[in-house]
Amino acid sequence: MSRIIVVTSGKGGVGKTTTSAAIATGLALRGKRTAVVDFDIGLRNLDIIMGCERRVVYDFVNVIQGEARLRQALIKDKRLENLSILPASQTRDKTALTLEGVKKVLDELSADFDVIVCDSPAGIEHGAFAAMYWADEAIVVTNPEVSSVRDSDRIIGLLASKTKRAIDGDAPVREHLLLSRYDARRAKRGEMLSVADVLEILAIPLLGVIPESPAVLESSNSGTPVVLNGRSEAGEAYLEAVERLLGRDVPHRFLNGKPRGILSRLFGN
Amino acid sequence: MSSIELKGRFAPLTVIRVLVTDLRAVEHDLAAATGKAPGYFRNAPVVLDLSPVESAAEAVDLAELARAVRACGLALVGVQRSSGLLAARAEELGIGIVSLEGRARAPQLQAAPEVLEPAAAVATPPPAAASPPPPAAPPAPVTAAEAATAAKDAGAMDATAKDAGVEGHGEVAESVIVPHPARSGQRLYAARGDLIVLGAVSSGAELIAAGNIHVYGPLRGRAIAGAMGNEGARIFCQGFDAELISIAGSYMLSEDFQGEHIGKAVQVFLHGEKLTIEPLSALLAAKK
Ligand SMILES: Nc1ncnc2c1ncn2[C@@H]1O[C@H](COP(=O)(O)OP(=O)(O)OP(=O)(O)O)[C@@H](O)[C@H]1O
Ligand SMILES: [Mg+2]
Repeated sequence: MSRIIVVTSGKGGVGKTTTSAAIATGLALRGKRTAVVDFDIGLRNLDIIMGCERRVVYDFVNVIQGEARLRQALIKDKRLENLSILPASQTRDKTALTLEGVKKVLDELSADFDVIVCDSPAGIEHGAFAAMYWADEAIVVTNPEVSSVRDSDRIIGLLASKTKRAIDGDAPVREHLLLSRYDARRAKRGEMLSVADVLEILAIPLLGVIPESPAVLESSNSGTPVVLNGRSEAGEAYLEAVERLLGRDVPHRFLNGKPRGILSRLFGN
Repeated sequence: MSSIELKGRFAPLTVIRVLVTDLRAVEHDLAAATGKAPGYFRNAPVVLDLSPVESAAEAVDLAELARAVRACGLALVGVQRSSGLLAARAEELGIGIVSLEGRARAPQLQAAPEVLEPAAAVATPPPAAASPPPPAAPPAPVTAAEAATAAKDAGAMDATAKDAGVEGHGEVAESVIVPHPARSGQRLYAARGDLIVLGAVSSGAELIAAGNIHVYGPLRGRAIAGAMGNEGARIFCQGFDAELISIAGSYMLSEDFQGEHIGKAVQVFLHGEKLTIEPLSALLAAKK
């Protein structure tokens, strides 16, 4: 059985799609056969961030409605052999995602992939619900601001009550907190919440802290997931998070701003 | 042995204050107000307060008004004591006359114009002219079955909550233990007894109990104890930072709290009419 991981947040624009692309790519880099699925029907943009928007022929809704085979809709990544993307439909209505339809697609993906990453739409409506319902794990993406933390809290409550695992009374959905767009200096000055503030409120294990970084925008404009785009801080922070997802206990390097690399240590600034 | 027993306790009632004599308008606003929370108002005992239209008593068709109220699924208990014509008319129609004097925090549901104020004695704070708006929706009270469903919706379903779903009229208060944190957007009920939360209560979460509320963690959301009018109910928590606290309809918002209690283990109780917050450490000090 493959691991089904939903990337969710409640609040919009916090970095779910950026995270889905980075984590899926990172997992593929580490040798996992990975599929990343766009649940944001009507507002698809995972394909853009993955750089495959021109290769979309069929989409998730076509597969659910029997208009295309899964094999026809899946787009194989050109850079990484074991990475595939299932794009969302730009034209359909999100009610096209029936729970049973989603299940069928996930089951079929399970046969060929080790990990399935589900990029959830914002909100707590149908689309977000469909994305989380079958999940084994959840990456809750949060920005260090009060409204984002509140929405994440809400989502964590729904993960614990509205998912298949919760309803069946199985082992609960495993939650991971990913604090994104973090600026340690501003947090220190009290201009945004600190890692400790957010952890105190949400009280779920910390998967990673992704610094605010211009590399993210550059990457998404060029259709290259940030983990593949040179050696940016955000990319490295995502790769660390991937290590933790794979069960390795790596230290958090981005809690206090720039990690001190060899050069800055030599020159002592 | 007597075949009946009379009890003095005042059941929580919703008061519908009728502001105009136009029956159509009242009918319309009633339907709109009750439609917002149909479960809550089903068979809810209500009293009509006709004092605003007392001066135009001849224009009030009480029989039709009573019909309109019942048509919305409400159980009309009576009209608030009024003088003269309307009282006489109520008597003719076999509608009870209720005195609500002395119920300083009497809940009100204004039938026209629009404002819906949920029953304060049931759970929510009373409308107060100068104060900020009370909690948005009326916490549905009241049958245990409803409470259990609500708890389930909110993710609070556990063996204990399930037990509370059994319709029972025994003397033993049925407590609900919530073995996990209460997250934003969740609303947890204990319709007949205490509500005990083992974990943090996030801001945006709401706890409602007929009895006491115990929070083994920080309380950052809303806590409404004594929701059926029990003035002896209390709220206990390990770290006080609530958005709202209410006991038997009296309430306070976070801006009313004194900063000195924030983050402390406290209890909240009614002292006369006044909500009192006291650090639990004061208990030990007092014993010395
Ligand atoms: N670490 C970061 N540093 C700087 N900018 C970032 C970072 N993470 C995300 N962004 C930017 O934030 C914006 C929103 O990101 P993204 O599309 O991933 O969010 P989302 O949660 O998927 O949004 P939606 O809710 O609309 O689906 C994008 O412009 C992205 O470039
Ligand atoms: Mg997105």
